[in-house]
Amino acid sequence: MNKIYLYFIAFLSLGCADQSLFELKETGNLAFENTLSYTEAFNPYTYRNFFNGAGVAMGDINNDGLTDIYFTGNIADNKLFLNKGNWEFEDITTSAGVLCSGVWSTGATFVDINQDGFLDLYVCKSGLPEGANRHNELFINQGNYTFKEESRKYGLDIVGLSVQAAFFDYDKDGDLDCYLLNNSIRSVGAYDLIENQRTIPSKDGNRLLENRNGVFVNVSQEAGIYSSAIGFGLGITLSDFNNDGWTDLFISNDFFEKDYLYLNNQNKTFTEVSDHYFTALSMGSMGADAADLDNDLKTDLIVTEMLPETLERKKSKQMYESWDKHQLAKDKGYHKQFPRNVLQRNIENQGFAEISRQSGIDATEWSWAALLFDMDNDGLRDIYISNGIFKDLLDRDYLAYMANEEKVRQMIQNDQDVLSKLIDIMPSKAIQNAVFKNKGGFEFEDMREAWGMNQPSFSNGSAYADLDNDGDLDLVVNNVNMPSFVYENKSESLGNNYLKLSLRAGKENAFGVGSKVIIHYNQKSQIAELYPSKGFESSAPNYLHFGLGKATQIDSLEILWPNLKKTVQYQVAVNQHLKIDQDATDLKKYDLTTAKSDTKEAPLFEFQHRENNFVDFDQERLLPQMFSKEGPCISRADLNGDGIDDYFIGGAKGQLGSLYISNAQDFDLVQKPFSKSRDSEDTSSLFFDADQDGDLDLYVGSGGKDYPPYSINLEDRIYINNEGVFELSSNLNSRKRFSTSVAKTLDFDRDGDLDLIIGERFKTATYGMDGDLHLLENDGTGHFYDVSVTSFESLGMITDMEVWDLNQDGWDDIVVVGEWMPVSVFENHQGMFTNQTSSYGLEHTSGGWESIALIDYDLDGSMDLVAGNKGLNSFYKDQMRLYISDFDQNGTKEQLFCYRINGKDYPIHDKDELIMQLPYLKKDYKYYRDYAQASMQELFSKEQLAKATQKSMNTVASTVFLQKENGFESIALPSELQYSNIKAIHTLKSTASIVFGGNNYSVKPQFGAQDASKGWLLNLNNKKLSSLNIPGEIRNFETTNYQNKTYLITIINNDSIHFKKLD
Amino acid sequence: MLILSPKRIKMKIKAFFSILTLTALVLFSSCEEKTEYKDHLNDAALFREVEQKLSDVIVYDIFSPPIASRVHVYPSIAAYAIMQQAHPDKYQSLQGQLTDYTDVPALEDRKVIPNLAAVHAFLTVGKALIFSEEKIEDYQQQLYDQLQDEGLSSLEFKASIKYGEAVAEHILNWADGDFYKQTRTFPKYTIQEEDRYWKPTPPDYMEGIEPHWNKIRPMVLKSADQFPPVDPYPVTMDKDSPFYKELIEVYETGNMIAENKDSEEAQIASFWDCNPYVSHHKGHAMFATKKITPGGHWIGIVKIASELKNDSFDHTVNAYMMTSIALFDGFISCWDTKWNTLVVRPETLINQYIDEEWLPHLQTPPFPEYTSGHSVISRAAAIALTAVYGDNFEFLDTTERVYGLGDRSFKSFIDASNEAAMSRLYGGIHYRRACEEGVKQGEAVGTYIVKNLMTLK
Repeated sequence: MNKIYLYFIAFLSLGCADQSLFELKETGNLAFENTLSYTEAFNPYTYRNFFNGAGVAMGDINNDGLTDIYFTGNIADNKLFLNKGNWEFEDITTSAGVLCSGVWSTGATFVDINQDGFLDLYVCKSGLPEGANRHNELFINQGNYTFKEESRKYGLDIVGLSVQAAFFDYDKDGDLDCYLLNNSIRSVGAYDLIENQRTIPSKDGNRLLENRNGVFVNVSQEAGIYSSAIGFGLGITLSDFNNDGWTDLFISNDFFEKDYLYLNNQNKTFTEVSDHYFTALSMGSMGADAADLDNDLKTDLIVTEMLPETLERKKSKQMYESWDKHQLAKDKGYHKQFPRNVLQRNIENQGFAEISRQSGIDATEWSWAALLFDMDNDGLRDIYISNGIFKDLLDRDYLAYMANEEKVRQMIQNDQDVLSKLIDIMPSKAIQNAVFKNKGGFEFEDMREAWGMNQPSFSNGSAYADLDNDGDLDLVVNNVNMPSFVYENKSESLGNNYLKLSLRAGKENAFGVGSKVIIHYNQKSQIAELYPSKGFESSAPNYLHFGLGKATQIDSLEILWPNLKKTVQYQVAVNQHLKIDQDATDLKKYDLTTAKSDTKEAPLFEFQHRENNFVDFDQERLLPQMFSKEGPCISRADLNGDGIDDYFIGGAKGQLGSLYISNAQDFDLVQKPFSKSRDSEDTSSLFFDADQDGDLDLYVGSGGKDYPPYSINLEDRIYINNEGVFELSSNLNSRKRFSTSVAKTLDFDRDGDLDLIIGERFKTATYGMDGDLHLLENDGTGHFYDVSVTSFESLGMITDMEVWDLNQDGWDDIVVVGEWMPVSVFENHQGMFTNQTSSYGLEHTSGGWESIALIDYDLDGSMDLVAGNKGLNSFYKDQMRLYISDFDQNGTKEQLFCYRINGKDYPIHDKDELIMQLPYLKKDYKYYRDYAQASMQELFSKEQLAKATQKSMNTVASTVFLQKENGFESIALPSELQYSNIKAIHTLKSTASIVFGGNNYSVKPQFGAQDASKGWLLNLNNKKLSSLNIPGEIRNFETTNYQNKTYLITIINNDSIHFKKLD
Repeated sequence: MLILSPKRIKMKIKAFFSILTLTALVLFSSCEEKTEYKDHLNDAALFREVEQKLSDVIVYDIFSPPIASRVHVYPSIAAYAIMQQAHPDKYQSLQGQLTDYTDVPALEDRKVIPNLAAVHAFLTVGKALIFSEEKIEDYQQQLYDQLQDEGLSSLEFKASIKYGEAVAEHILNWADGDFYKQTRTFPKYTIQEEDRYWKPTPPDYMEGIEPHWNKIRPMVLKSADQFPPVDPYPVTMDKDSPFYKELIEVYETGNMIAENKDSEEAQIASFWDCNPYVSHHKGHAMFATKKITPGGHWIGIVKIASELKNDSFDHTVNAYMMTSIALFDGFISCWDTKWNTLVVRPETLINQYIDEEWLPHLQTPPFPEYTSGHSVISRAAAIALTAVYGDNFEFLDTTERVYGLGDRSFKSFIDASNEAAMSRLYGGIHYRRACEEGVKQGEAVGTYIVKNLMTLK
């Protein structure tokens, strides 16, 4: 159904291909240009925010129903254009008295501050700390096209590096208070990574100003708002993020400081919760916008950053933090920040999943703001991102070679115009802004060309409004050193309907700021909140706009007023501008939904996994992620026959394994049997009756990466159960040393005892080299002997397997998965294994597989394979290549990870990192721009490439392989299950559902951690997904019944065990 | 690939020659024999010029101090080897004196002009070790054209280049065995939590440079740890401990300098900064300043000394080689100490415990504190230079002029090395003990080298 609907829309868009959705207007009498020229004294080196640009404010200043436009300028004067209809505008700046000449203006917003029904104008100021009227200005609308500056009277004549202000009622006393965003005056220097800086107030910091009878009083401290000198705020975004009816605040901070999410405590104070609500933040956060992108009535959030779009530009226009610095920042309280835009999807009002990479909106160049609005009136909000910087401040060649040498020597010797000369030689490139159509399900499509918004520019602030009152939202963009863009929206040709709403929430809030509207139509719902300040230094008009697609009527419309009262109207007509005054309606009680509380239970027993401090990147410098943090493992069995499950949980290197044996009250912890293996890393375990004496013995596989290839700590172990006491046995005659990932039992020779099949994870010294499957035959007494199987050699980097009689011939077959290898099937023909991968049609399934489980996914009675992969929300991409070779013949192998682009392989590594490993390459690739364009075929000779081991990863999506008559049919798991890697898959048989878990935080910051999952529960009957809300790097699940309750047990890397009661 | 195969070198030379032969023919037919080239080639200024050229490229390409010492040393040895072949009565062979070194091919062709061959061998080895080859090639082309203009014959040119090439190849083969290539892929230093351990420092938190430099084959030293200094003071924040007192000394000296940027101490610190790459952040805008390395500064002092002495070509070569070997072994000795003791930098502890906004006068370089590299290598170089040019050699040090710093005068090389050592305390990047013990370590290395490396007969 959905698909057909989308095709229909696509058809419609194609249908009018001769005319794009947006038309760039000849500006004529609406001309504005933010002209910026730098001088020796005033430039990006002397003033940090020099190229940040300026904004656009939308508002109807004369209440004639036409939205007027106010542009701010930095060096240029501001301009106010009166909208006279039919795209006629009149510049009335001078007569209106809102010129702000000679002062660096930034953000502007319209607000009716004096409650006279006319919009007043607040303008923020920044730049050099001098000039007349350097303070922020409040222009009071006199109702006759003129304004009077009265900031002082209201206590709003504040001087600072102000960026934008937002007016809203934080304490629900009816009047509008103000959040003023100030960028710190402190220069960004060597003081990042100092702890506890943000709680130290600064007089130049951000402010929350309470409106006390028309005078704005700084209440930041009392309210719990940070106003420190490390606040480099570039965005204020208001929304009721947790749906409790009170306005919350999101503040984006540039540079090293993390972003803030302030939840309103409903008592004039806020609590900053970014650590709990986000698992990843954008690093140099700029403007942002919050809105519901999937119509689930919860607020999602997009914050922009500066990541270049193409791999080529990523390698030549951006600097990246090292892993060590990233860790240090996290330890000092700066959260986990990454160099990319973020799309924070609201998950059940309990936190956000960062899915920018899966959505494809993570890299839109040097971006200033996202605006989330329905550009084609189809009922889903689209994304517009303004971007560009007049000079490429981070061009790597500029930094390494041009900004150096003679120029800088000159600067030291004689101070003549050197800074401006330095800036002269900085590259400058106008680029297209980003436009994405929302296709539903957080899928977006690049529409720059199709919608006619492909003009290269240096764009900063932007705002939308229906300027011609034709029922769609037009767009105005403020550009540096080129005329502003005014786009007319021509979506009327699509035949979609709309609804516009103006609201009045009492005398003190005549434009209804903070109101929330929910509409229901055709079994769909939409929500919108009225907060004009948004994006970057800009503000939207004081009305709400809904695109409705083909809906011809709104079934019901609920307005949730700031005073927590509700107005409901039914059967509302479309294509109108509805004006509703709360006092003229029948107000109802507003029932707030309260967020579900966390369901973490008191543990049945305590366990804390302690990962050892080993940094893979310090050994193998080119790895993009670590592979040494894959424990712990867990096994469950009733060992003592008391009807209560007992457990084994593995320890990391340096930590003993733990047996938890139930007793009458709770559990006894037994570790003695494992005392000799403290330095092994337990990665796999299983209980089985090895010696056929009727009780369960324990097999523990030793894995991990922090070992030399032949370390004794890599030996697996069998512990024999002697009447309840486990003893390390010497019965394991295999003394092979390799890093174990998985161990399973099978009776491969049908002699009645259980044999073992063990997967090798990798060669510890060099990631990328293949491991084997190892078959161990039980002699019937619990002694195990190696069986040599040729087809098990050099399979890949094995992570998981399932044993199962796939061809139903009575002999156990094996399905094995791993990284850079296909889902591989080995059929057992009377004890002989042959690789039958291609006869099951699986030969092209090479992936980054991390887990596999045997489950009847489609409930058709036959078992299917559910396989966990890297997912779609990471740096891993389909068709990646891995080259492994000792390229410089110095005795150590290098691994090069590559993206395949137009049939050629391009390394994803930063040049500095690669040169450090292969210094000789610098001779030919001194410049970043050259390296950025070089494929493997150009970087290396044919002979070198021929010698290299090459691997491919055809698919990164977690996939279900449905068993059909002639092999398997693959379908991708639902999109939420692609938000992170899947390491753990577990069936809850009682409810016909599956739980999934994963995450991997140990990824270099330029590639970004996999952190967007808190575990998912998938109901197989209705295919509905819900979040388990278990944070961390989930490694395994178990379920148990204890005292008549069912518990989900979750094992998390470097964290404590998690128990959750299942309904 | 980086190193040209001998075949490709030959082809390049051939092409070069045919053009030169033509030029030579024209010259012969048109005028009388010119001999200016002889003076040019005999002048030590030429060798000082090529050394300077290499130093400039090292700055441009940004090499860390230990690697820079490696780029300086092999070309100088190549040049010396040719001087030794040309003046066997005056200079001793290095065979048996430098580890794994064997004599270069004998100088038999009488058409070879040794000084030209030495220049060519120097530049060829240098070019293999740096990245910006075109900068060397441009210079080379210009110099060789000029020598031809000055009357250098094609036969002599050809023979000298050929011989220089052979020596360069010999030296590079030897250099290839110094374990440099292997150490490129050795593990990075893993950051350790405890206060006493070195950690990356602001503003760039660069990773530690060359943690395995002690694996590099020394020239004269028997091993990297031949002259270990006394242990550093145990790191403790106990106010009565000698360590804490030295930490406070760095802090207070830094404060004094911050208040008085024109003080003698401030000038000394800046003069000896010698940090090859200092980054400056202005919001998102950045730029970096490049300077010569500590070793490069001493190569500059050799130039000054040779000029003052009006030294000969061959003896100047000897001076450069002695100094660059002292620097090379000095770095190996010092880096062995640094990465074994792993002492934390003062900036880290001061920011953590005393004053979180304190900034050292100089940017803290990215490697452990003990011992001070500048102290070790300056003293080792000063001893080598004293052995070559004598004690109480007064000179005006103008090396940092191109980097916008003033000149400083010294009574002797030792005097200069003492000041270099203490500059690190003033700069806020070393404790006193690392400077004082570093000087002793450099003294031991330098003394051992001048006793065990015989050049003049």
